[in-house]
Amino acid sequence: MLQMRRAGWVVSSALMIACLQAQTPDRPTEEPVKDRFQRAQKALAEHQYAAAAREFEAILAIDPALAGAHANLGVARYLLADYEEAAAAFRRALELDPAMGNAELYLGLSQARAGNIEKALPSLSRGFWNASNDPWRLQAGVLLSELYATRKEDDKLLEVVQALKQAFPRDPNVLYLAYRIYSDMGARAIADLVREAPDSARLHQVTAELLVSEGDFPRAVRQFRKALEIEPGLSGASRALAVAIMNTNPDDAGIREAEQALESELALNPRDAESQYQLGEIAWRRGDEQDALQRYSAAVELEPRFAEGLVALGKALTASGEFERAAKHLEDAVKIDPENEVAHYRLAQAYRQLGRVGEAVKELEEFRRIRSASEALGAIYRQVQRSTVPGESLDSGDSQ
Amino acid sequence: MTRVCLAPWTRAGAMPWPLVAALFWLVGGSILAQPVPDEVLQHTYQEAEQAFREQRLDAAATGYRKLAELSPDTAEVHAKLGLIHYLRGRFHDAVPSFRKALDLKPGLPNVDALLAISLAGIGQHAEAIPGLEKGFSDPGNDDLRRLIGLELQRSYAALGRNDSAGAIVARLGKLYPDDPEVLYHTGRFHADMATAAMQRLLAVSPNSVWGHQASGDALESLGNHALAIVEYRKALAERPDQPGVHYSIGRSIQSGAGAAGTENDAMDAYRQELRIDPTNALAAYELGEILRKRSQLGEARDLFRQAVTHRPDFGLGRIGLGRVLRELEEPDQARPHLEAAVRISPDNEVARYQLALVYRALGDLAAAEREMQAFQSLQQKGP
Repeated sequence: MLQMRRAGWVVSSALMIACLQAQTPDRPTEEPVKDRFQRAQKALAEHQYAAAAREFEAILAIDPALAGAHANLGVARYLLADYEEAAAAFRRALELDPAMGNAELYLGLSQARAGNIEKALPSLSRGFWNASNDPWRLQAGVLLSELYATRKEDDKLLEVVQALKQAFPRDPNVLYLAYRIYSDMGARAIADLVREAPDSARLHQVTAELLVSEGDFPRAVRQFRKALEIEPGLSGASRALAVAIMNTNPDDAGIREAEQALESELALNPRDAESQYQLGEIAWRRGDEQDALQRYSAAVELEPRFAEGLVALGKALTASGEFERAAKHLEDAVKIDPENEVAHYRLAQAYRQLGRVGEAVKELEEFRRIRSASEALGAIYRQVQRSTVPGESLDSGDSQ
Repeated sequence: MTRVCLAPWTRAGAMPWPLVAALFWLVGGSILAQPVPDEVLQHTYQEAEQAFREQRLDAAATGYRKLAELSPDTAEVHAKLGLIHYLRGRFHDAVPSFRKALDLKPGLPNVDALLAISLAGIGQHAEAIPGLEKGFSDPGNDDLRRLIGLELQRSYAALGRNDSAGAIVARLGKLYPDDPEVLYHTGRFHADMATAAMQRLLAVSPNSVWGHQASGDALESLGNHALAIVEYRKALAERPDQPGVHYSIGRSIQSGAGAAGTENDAMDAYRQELRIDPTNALAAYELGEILRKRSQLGEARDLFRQAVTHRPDFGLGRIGLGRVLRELEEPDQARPHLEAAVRISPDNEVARYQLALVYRALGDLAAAEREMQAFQSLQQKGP
């Protein structure tokens, strides 16, 4: 269930007034009307919304065809929480001037605020897709998302969330909304999987992945094995089993078993970059840097946007003294995954070796910033972590 | 610490054998119609076919490779060889075979789609996408379309085109709502997107009201109710009137079974939520439930009514209201709410049972019996 409820209604009057400035008389008017407009604007600026509403009503008594005055009256009414009347004013403004900027959006917001959610949907939708990227659009998008989530219209919901993320990429409200919506949709898909295919290999696989995300590797191993019993050719399961085994039994026997599972995955799916990467990690830990380098290279060749693979390749190239090549791969990793702290750290190392001190310092600062944010909230990540692959980490003492 | 990494997509599951057989026929069904110049060719063809039928793919590949040498201008031979390579996971080998087949006979059915899937298999996602998009929009073969859709989603995701991937996820969900493979990949996609959104939120604004709220939600879902409440309180310190946060605190208190606060504390939280946002149906419902259990039926009724006024499709709210109205001996008023609850959630045992009691109270014994049977049937079925 979405908990974004009504977040869209935290609206500052300053914002309203900012919108209002654009709503000047829309055709040549008589002097008294201009005077009243000025007084109305002043009243709004001073948060005297009732007074502003009275001025706009007086203007409309003189000239009822002034679309801008209706829109402004709608804004004043909205700020007075008279949502029905606000909606009526915006509707009238649109009748007089169907192209009036954002009026449709405000109409949808007013209707929704008045409790007419279903009625608000068409105006909110049209207003949202036609609006400029101002905070009003954000408010409308949040409301639209809630509506589509309730109606289980996933395709429209995803479109709105994507549009919001593009329009407001750094807005915490939008990022929270996206987090909640994706979490809910993911949980719903898994609930459907439980209902539709309770004995399926995929359900055992996803159960195992959830156990991995909670750090319960022994039980994850059992679930992956069950999945593979049901469907021996299940894509990705042998590789994930290998990772879970390594976390359960990191001794030689465990590593050997994991290698076999990874080779099984590659036999089934020779293009599996992650398996190559994991085999590279095993080789690296064994001290076989040449084998590791080959595996990492293969992984990146298979999936050029595989950030963890690029970081690992950068690590191996740095170790072999190929700093230029290492820096190139690490720069790619940072571009693909800007929040990858290890990528920034390794890039700083490579830059330092290349004598690019300024850039090294910058990357190290970025590493520290990300680490500081992530350490404080480390536990939280696990909740949504679904990766079957532990991310590249810094070796012990690396960050000292 | 281990950081979150978005795992690249795992490939879609293996192609089911009936689909393989159908494709094998479709891409090369006219081989027998081709001129067969000599016995060697005929014999090789029969051996290769036999091997394929017995699912001995290595032998089938050897046979078709030989056929391709003997009859290099027969498009169907190259198409079948490509399909065999594909089934063996040899996408690098499949690609030139499919290309050759299409060069010789551009209209060969399904080969362009198989080429696109193979290109995706070797990581050439950008080149694969046009063919995958075309194949996905063609409703000709439903099984193949499903497979193409899963590959298309994977290719978009691999290129970072998450909006397009999301659109395919939604489309696949509509086309194949009960398909375990589709459900699995849908769950994975959304989980990864949630992870990315959470990471970004914590990176750009870790101490914002939204950051704390998200952290609280995450801790709550981990079962760490006390820490979740700490995060929610931080959110309220940033913005005291943030909608939804008091409700979340109430839920955390209740989920903590008393460890994180008392039921009275939870009630206070729901009341504060409703002061900020009277339309929060969930807060009204939770508060109503507590009061109902405390036999404060009048207040409970008002709260349930508030919940369903703002969310008419809220099944639990309808059940709560119907149940309280029945207990207040107003079965005629309870009936429409419980009937609505059954429409919204036909498998809800409580709704069926309460509706049976209401019908009985109204003297409609046949309807009561019907609902009681539905209730008992649901009970036998279990969760």
